[in-house]
Amino acid sequence: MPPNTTVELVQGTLEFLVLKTLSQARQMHGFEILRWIYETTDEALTIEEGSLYPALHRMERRKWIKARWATSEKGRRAKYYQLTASGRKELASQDERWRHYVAAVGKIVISAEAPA
Amino acid sequence: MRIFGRETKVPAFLDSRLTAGKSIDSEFEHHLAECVDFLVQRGMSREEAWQEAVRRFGDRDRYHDECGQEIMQRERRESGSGTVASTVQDLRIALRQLRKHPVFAFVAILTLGLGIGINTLLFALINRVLLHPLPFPDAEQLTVVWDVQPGFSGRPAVSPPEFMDWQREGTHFQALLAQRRAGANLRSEGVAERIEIVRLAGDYLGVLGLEPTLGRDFTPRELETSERVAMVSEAYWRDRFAGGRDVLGSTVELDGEPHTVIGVMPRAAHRISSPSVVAWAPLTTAQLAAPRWSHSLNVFARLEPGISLEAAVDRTDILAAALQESNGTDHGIELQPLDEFLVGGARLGLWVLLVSGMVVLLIICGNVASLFLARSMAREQEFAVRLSLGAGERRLGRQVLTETSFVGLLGGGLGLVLALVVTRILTATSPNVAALVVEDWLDARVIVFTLLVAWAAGLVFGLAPVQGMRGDRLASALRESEGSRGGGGKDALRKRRIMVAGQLAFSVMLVATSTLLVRSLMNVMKEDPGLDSEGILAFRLALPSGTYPGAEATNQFYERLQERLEGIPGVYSTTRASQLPFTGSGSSGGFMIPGHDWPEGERPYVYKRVVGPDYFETLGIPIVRGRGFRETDVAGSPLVAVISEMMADQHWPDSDPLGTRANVWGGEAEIVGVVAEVKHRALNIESRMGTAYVPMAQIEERQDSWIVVKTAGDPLGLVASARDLVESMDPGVPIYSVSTMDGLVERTLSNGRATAGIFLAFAIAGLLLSSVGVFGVTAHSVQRRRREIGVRMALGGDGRRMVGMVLREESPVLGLGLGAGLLLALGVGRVMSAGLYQVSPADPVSFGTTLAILGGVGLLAVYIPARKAARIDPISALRSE
Repeated sequence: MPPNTTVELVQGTLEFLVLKTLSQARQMHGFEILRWIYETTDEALTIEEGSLYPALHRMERRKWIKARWATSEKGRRAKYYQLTASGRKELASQDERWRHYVAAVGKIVISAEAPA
Repeated sequence: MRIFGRETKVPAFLDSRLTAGKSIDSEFEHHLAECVDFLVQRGMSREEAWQEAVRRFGDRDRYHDECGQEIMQRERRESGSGTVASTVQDLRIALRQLRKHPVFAFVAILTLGLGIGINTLLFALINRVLLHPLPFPDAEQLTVVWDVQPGFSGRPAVSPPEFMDWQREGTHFQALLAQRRAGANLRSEGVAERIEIVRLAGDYLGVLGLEPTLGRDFTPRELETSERVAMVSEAYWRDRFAGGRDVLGSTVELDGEPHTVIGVMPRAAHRISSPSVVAWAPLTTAQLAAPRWSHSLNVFARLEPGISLEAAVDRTDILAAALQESNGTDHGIELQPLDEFLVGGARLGLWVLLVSGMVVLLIICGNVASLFLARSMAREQEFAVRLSLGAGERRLGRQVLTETSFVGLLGGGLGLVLALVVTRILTATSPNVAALVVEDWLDARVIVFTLLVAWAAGLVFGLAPVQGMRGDRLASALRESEGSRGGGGKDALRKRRIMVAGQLAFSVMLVATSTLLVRSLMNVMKEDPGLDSEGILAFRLALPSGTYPGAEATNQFYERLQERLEGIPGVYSTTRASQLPFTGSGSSGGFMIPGHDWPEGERPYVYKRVVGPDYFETLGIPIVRGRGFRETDVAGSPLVAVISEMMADQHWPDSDPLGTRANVWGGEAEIVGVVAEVKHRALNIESRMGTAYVPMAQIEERQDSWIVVKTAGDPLGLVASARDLVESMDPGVPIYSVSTMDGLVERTLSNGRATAGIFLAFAIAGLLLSSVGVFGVTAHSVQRRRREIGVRMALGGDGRRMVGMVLREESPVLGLGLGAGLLLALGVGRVMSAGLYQVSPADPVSFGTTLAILGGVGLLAVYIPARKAARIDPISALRSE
């Protein structure tokens, strides 16, 4: 995907991305999560950054993640999130579904491109 | 938490609220700080980075709310008590929504306040008149007793001999009372004032089933021999004696005669007379001795216990028949339940008023609902996204309802305030009406009613937006956001256009009607009263007949008073009159011209006025021919009369009335002058008959009089000296009905002014509502077509043409609304044409103005959002979809 093209998130994607991201590290604060998503996707995905937080709070309510306040390396007070056991289970099941979905859509995309 | 240096306990839910709010804020702050660092690393200046970070973050308030709600839901699940907290959260959101849309909030609350205020007042009236039972025990036993005369429609009062017959013979009456209301000069502790009193006979308190608040009742002997004893009102007792016992045995002077106070009348007794009555006293000897044809008393009776109204009516008929026999008269007797007499006719009318008040409120609710709908459509996608992200449908619905109920309650509060203001104004301008209707109107029942109506209104206009938020609708909203915007939105838009056209039509009607009324009022004000009202003070006085028995005594008093008034610097002249123009009272009657016979029943009528010397000069009524009255036109000198031009033209069409004779009032008089016509009743009422004037000094009957003073300066500056003068001449005689002539003329305009004012207020509210409606529809339509407009712009369309396109598309709504409104207004104008003065119900000026105002405002309401179309950036418009 060329780096100067951006796509917006399909509804419901954000939660999956957050779960996936948090599974890569012990704990992250909000901006670290976003930054990780940007870097991993070559900044192809953009979201309104504020919309991350309602999603985080919602996932906290569902007990997929838990949060605690700590001081960052830069000496700032930050709220750190980490995956819980039920979060890992949720990630596993969503991971499965996304793989199927991406594969299926990918086939269509490729087959539609081919004749052109 | 520390407030004012003291440790204050904060309610637990608020505390967690505050902590949660702070924690969300600091999380957001941290995010922004990190983002700025990140952007600075990439080469931006701090300032640019800050702006960019904020831009990337998006709608901070909205995300804050959403996080807050998540926290709340979590807490509720954990603690099981989140209702209060979430209501607080909802209210916070509601407040912010209102602050974000101040015009919207202003319009909604103002119009609701108007609608609710009207209903509050109407309910207060109903509450007072209908819902409070009569304050008498066993009130169903109380009836009014009328005298019925064959061939005389209506219900005449009762004469003293009839009353005594009934008292003696009416065995089915447990007790009877008779009363007549009268004005009287009251003097106590050196202060004289004009008051209302009741003269009475019979068992007054017995009939009503009341006990004196203090002291004792009248004895039968006191009543029969017209003893000078009196009971006073609770208000008098409170004001003069601070509610002390020393009121008993004190003296009140009524019309110059000292009466001993024997008791205080309970408040409830005012219900059968008037709230302003100050004293009750026995009928005077002369009143008791009045003949059988003198119908002056109102009679009330309490039926014997156990006798039904039907039985009582039968026995009353038998009584009437017996009395006809023994007295040789043909008068009957009729009973009317007291309840029906006091409120009967008003009952239906009041309920009709309340129902129409409710309909007005419902229309207003419809308008406000459409405003909310317009706004909730703008938020439809936001709601849809939140719903799909797991926010409960009920939760969102409750949030909207909280907001609308909140707006409803604010409107209710405003309504109460408006009702208070109106009653204050009413109390200040017409205390008598006010005392009857609005005294003590605000009780718990009225407040509860207002709040209930306000809250219900909030729910009513809240349901529309909530309906619009239902899941299926939202699903289509989501689809629309994904692909091209489809049919659903278009359909809703068409419905709203029709609604807006309806509102416009309604506003056209209101604005046109109030313009007609205002123009009519202006025409009335331009009318010539026929006199020069500038610098004129008028007041009344009533000389008690005990001290001033005849016309000579009263005339002497008036003359001495006038003389001394004329001695005050700045006073040009004075006069007196039994009746003045614009005071709402006057008399008319027939007259005769010697040698001129009119067939029976065709004798012409004229207005008759009894006036003093210099009457025409003082009031500035032009004398056309001959002369006015002089000091020399007194009893004993040749009788004279002055007639108006219309009387001269009608009855002396071919000759000069000057020097001829006519009998206007108690004898043939020489006509010595002809004067111009005066408007007697109001500026817009043209007299159809002429007026005859006679000098007061030549009239045998004694007269209560108006005293008129013409001065160079401010007439009200004279009031104190006039009052002092009269007091120095007779401390028992108060002056009353003090007013300037301008004031009297002005008062005849007040009804028209009030009507025009009410219509104008509604017209302005309607104008606001409908223009906001037009604005909302256009804004929505532009928003809906962003993509299309974006494409057109991208293809080289220029902004001005886009604006033109939107204008063309939305203008038909204006046309439809204005056209329908015009027809509506023409219809209403025709209905109310009788109330218009020299304005055609289809007055082109009024209608032109109305169309110009509404068309202008409407076009502006289309243009402002349409301008947005020109500013649409094609790239972002296309990407936003």
